[in-house]
Amino acid sequence: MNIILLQKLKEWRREAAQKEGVDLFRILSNSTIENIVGLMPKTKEELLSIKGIKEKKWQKYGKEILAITGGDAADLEPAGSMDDKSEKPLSVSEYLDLLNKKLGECFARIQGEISSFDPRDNVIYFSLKDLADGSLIRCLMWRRDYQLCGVDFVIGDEVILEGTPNVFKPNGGLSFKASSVELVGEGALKKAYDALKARLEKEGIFAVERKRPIPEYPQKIGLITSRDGAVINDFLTNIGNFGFHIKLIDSRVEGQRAVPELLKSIKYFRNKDIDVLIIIRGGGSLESLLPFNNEALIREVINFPKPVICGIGHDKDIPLVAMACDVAVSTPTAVTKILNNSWERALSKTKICERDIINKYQSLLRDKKDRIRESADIIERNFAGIFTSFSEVSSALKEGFLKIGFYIKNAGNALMRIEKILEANNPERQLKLGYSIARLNGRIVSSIEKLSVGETLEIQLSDGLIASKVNSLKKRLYNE
Amino acid sequence: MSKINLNESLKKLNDIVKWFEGQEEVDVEKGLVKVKEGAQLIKASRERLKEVENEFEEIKKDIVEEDDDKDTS
Repeated sequence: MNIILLQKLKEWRREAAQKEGVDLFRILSNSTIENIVGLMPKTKEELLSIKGIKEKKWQKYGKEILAITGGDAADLEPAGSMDDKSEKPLSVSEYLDLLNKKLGECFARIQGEISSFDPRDNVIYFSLKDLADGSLIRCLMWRRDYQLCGVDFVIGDEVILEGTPNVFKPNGGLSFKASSVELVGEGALKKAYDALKARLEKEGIFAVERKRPIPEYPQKIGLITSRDGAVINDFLTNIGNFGFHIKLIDSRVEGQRAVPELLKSIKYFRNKDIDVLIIIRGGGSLESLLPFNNEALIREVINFPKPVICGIGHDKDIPLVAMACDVAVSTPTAVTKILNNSWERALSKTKICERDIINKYQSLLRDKKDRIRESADIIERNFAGIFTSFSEVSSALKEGFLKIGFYIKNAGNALMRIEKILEANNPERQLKLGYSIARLNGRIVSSIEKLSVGETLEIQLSDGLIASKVNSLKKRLYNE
Repeated sequence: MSKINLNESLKKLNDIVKWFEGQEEVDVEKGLVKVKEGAQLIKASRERLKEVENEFEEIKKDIVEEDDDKDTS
């Protein structure tokens, strides 16, 4: 980027702004200047192709800009100077153009009394008279600007005008083109204030029903105030650290010239994503708070899509904007309290809920524990009998078992004895000793009486059987 | 930081408190579920409510002006 050209343009803008008594951006915005440097326009067409430069800006500054960029106007510029006697004479029109260009630099703030008043469709014609010597200047004002100022001219009113003089080419008459007007004196201001207040009141502008609530947990804040001064510091010092996103537009807040700036600032926020709009300024007299009693501004505020909070200090008369907005307080700190409010409440609500839930669950557990203990008691009481009888039964059983054991032991001894007897009497043992067993037809023969000669006996020895026939029978006599 | 709806969270917390109050016979298990839910909500709310630096931005005058041009053109 051509830095030298950029500096030249900025220097020129600074001078132009000074001459006109306006802010720099009203001459050209930074981005427009940067585009000019980038594009280096040399002709009217090229210059008009740049965003931010339309016919109006071309008329006003086009030639000067081209003179800086080295374009056409470098030659056009001195269309004649007042002390140039050698050149050919200027036409009347050319001269008036030159004059108007020079007059355009004579921005002034003048005070006088309205001595005539002729409102037309788009223009208000009037004249301003010097209170001391009766000098007179004819004036005009666009109706739009006039309405913006919210002043109703009455002949005899003392006013302060801001603007530049201009010669009207068709009749050569000089008029002061006022861009803003304000009433002079507390008395007149108070009268205007009261009249507007009464009218708006009648219209219901201040009605409580119209007020919109401030949303809970606001986060995106549009802020309009003057960057300088204690007000913005108070605001930023006292706003809680809840992650607010604050967008500030630095605006004039004093004097009639504040009105268009405030209006533009509010309009800027209209379609921006904000939760609430804040307008703050320090306290002041009716005169210094003039812009905040401006009807156009009041209407802009009440038609703003989001709630508007005003923190405007004041003496006796509450600024009408404050009366019309959704919430009005009189200090920036009070505004921050409103913004912090729901966040801080949420903090304490969370604490309360936490305490409540824990308490309730604990008491529930305590309750359950008590009931478990109670149940245990009941069980213990009711089953105590069972347990006692159980132990009786069990000792009886034990006793029984012992007895059984004793019996078993005894029985065992008896068996052993029997076994010995049986052992001693085992017939097989007798057989081994040489005894034998005689059987007839499978039955043991113990007497000869059941036998007859010729029958076959089975004789069992220890290791086998003998089949033997009875030859003779002879009864044994014990005395033999 | 996930965005939580503070309002919604506080309402839910309140509902949990009311649930405990409204119950004739509170089931310990169900109660514990509610306590856990409550603890999460409290944690999330705390997270949202803890100190967060504010962001501050100044809108340049020429941007305001251009915006205004757009509106009027």
